[in-house]
Amino acid sequence: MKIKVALHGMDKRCEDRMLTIFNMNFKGQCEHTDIEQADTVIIDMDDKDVDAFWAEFRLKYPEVPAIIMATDHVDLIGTLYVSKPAKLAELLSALKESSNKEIGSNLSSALNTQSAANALHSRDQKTQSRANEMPKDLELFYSPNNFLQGKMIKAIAKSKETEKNIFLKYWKDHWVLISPHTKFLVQNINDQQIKTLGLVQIGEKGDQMAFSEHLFSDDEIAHMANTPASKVKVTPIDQFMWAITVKTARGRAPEGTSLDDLYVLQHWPNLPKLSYIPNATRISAFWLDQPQSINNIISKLKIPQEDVLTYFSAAVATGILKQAKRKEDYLCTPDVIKSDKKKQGIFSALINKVSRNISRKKDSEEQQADYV
Amino acid sequence: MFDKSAHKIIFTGPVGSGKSTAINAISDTPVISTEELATDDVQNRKQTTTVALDYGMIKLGMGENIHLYGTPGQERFNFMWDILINNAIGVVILVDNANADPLTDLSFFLKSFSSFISNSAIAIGITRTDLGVGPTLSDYRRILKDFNLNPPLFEIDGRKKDEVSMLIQALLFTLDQSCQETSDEETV
Repeated sequence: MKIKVALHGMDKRCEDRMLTIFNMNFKGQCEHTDIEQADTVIIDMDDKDVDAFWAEFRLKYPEVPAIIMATDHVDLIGTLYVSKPAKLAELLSALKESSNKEIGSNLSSALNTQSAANALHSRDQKTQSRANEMPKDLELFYSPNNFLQGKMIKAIAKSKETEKNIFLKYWKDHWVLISPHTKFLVQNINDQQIKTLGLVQIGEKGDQMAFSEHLFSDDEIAHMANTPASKVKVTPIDQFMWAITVKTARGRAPEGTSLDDLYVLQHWPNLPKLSYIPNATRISAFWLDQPQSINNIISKLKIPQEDVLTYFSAAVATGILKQAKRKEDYLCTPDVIKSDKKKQGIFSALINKVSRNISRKKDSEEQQADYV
Repeated sequence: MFDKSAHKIIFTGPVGSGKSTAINAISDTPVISTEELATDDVQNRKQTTTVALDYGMIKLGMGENIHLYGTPGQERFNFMWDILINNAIGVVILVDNANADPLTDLSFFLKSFSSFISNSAIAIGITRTDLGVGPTLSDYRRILKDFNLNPPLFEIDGRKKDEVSMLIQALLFTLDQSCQETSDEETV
């Protein structure tokens, strides 16, 4: 069945381009419609007062799921964000995800009542922040406690501390079982849902996005036993935490992070099995040599800040990156980049070659490499 | 084949750890293998085994190539290791996690290449972890700590080009972090 998609806030050129994509690239999968009939709506947020525009839209259309397209990141509760220029595969994936009856309607209905008010509240907060000259912080930091990431970190710690299995329930039948004695968790959330879970803020107790946590009971054992084996996954904890954190962080670090303090990377992350972060291999190699600050890595390696912040967030969430506490950590000179001048040419050529193998694979994972 | 000025990466590890497979995954040329029917205890694990070496190549353009050598896994061929290791960029050690004692395997190869490791770099790939048996990465890290090493240590599937490439990439960044990673993503 075709996904009925509405377009909102777009200029004529952008709207024409989208209609062409629907008719050519997404032929048979999507069709353009009015907002009233739409399964989902794509909203162009560039050159707009985001909060006001969103609040106005939500008050008028409280039910319809929305995908936000914008050049800079826009974080609105209950929406999916697709950056411009957007990959066609990413856009199609977002359309499917947003229009998914189970996820889409849950997200929408659970959050629509609060969204407009939140947007307006957020607007006030931003205005106040601007007055306090702190707008940069809003882009650099996020609160893990508002997301599944923070809940998982707490639940894993609690499971270890109490030596009890903890059963986390989310939405209707989605659950995660954390056991204190293994490095794996058992769960029934698929990759696409992990992506959504990473993006969406956790609701308060009682609403549909609430997140319940309790010790594993006989009822849950029965519930799990009745779940088809094909829907249950045993996932290494570091893989799960890395994946949801990459989706949640999106170029930001947890609030309270110091960009100038030194942090110690304890060992290499198991990168081939983890969600892709650009430059993760190079960051790991540099960080492992000696304690580093985030700012030092950004300036010395000359790589995008968002790559370093996402890496930082994922490494902290998986417990392999810790703040330097020993005195000797501060005696190092974290300025030196290891370099072999004689072999630099050959190294550079080889790194380029193998990096293409990796990025091509990541592209194929996301199906297409086209952009809108 | 053993030109001293040639750039080469050595793949080593016990029998059945996936050296031939990993080289095959990233080589730009058909891999030359000197495999023979296994006749000793190896035949319990695989039908053929490498008796001299595997050889593949990564072509970088402008006439520059990286030669990939896989050592024979059996210890009785270890005289080959010293020949191959000379002047290598780095060593990739592959360990079969489903082997009888993979931690001892890792220790053995760390000892065997200790003089090279002290002056250069290694990366370690643990294969066949999907079988759900054998030690965890934490167990391997404990062995590495005994050797005062903290190299790239990844679970890999030697058949997957991107995973073997990531191991090579990590090996190179261990040696030189000044090189930029590139991507060939297209934008419209």
